[in-house]
Amino acid sequence: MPDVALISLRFGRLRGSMPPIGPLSLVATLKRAGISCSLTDTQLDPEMNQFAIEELTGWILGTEAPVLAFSVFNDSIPLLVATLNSIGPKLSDRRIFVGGPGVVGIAERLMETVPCIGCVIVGEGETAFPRAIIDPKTASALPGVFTRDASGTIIGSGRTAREDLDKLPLIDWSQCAGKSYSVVPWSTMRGCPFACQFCEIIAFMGRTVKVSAIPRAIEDLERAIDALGYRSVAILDDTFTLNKRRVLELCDELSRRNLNISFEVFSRADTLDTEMMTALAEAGCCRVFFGIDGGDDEVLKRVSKGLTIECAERTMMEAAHFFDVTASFIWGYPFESLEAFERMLLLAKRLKKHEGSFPIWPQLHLLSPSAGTPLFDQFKETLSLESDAETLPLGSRLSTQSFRPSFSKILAVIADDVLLSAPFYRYGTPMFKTKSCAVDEFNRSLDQEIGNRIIHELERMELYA
Amino acid sequence: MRKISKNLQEAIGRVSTDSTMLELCSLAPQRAVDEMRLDMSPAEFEQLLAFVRILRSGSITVQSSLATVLRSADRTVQR
Repeated sequence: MPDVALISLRFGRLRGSMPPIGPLSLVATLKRAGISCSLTDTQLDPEMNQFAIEELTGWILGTEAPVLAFSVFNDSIPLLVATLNSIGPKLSDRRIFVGGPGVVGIAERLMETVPCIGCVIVGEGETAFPRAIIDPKTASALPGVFTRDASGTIIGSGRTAREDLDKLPLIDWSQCAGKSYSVVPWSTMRGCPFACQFCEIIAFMGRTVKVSAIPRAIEDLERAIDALGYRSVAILDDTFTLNKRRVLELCDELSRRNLNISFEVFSRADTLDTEMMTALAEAGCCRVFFGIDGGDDEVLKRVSKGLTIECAERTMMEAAHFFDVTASFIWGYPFESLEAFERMLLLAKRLKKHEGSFPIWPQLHLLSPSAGTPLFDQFKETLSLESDAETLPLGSRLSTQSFRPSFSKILAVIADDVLLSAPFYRYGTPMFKTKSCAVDEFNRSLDQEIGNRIIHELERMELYA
Repeated sequence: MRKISKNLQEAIGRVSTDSTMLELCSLAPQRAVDEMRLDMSPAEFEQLLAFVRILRSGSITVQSSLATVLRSADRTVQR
């Protein structure tokens, strides 16, 4: 029996293609501290989703580990709340910890709502988590560690101190071998220096970027590739292209080692130039994801993006000469006029039509509210829950989930607490219905193109006769 | 090359990029089509189900070119 059973609560079919790198790093630090830990990745179970109370209950009660830990994203909080509160009395002899990006801005409320949770850790957990297990009393004085005092009062504030990435133990990738993953996750840095108002990363990590030394980062990648056996890599760094010299050195090292990988990165349009694109493509970069996050300069200014549309469009057009490009837009800001929205849509259409060497794939995401962000603090009064509005994109329509057995229980949690369930709500925005219909129409044409490509590819592979 | 209707292309694009739609197709196909607001003929419907079976089998996820298409279109990404 392990000392700790760690459950990574993540959902979404496509993200299931890669091992959960954050929880894996926690497992490594626990092991170094002499604490054994089992890791369960919910994404590997096709029956698991944000509404699967019975499945999660089965996993929790199926382990006898004295410590239960959950690494969560914010869209899994209602499931965690409903599940733990339904089986709380059965867990009286366990210590329960919760951490991960999903607890930003909600630590105290989560502990108030779920009495069996003994500790919430906000921020990176590699130092705080083992310490909270071994020595709860001193750990409770650490920033970012929320616990209960002798009287049951919840204490704690802030977020944990930043980790020195070169001092963390390397991940043991062999525990992921033989599972249905197909992509190697690679992290060479943590944090983001920018201050976008819709993003929770500042509350999670602050604005300091911590980087791994390049030899160490490469060693980690090589170990992962050796253990897992596939050569498709996703670099998860929030802004991989932040430091030009480092990117060129990393690309040079990847090329020199001839690892024969293809990889994809997150970037910002104002941190990528021709020399970097060339180096990235030569090193095996096949796709760059740009978070543009708006299609109008005024909107970008309001969210402190620090980017202009002219710069974004120019960079993406050039990048499409080197690799596939994903252009991610956010719509539905409380201050987004219909005109600003239409400018975004026109830009997305222009990008989609662009004929470079590689395609540009625009994504239009309805703004997802996140606790702990400046935008949430300023506009939370405008949030509304529309479970079956026809004009919501499919992914946002709660009614499409109603076939799931536990739907009503999860919906009750969502309806009861906007702070704990923020991503299931939407901000008020001018002309929502008109915007939503336009997005729906755009996505239909995108779906046709994607479906067409898939069919042709399947026919080529003789999988679809 | 076989001619495939726009409706079917759209349906396949959508179930490929939305895990809820994929599940709905498996559990209650007609409801999935209703949710997608697609007007499909019985023949198109059968073709969609054939595709869903392929998708559920997991056989396309190992193909890197398709995986790139799917990740590019992944609507679950939220920033």
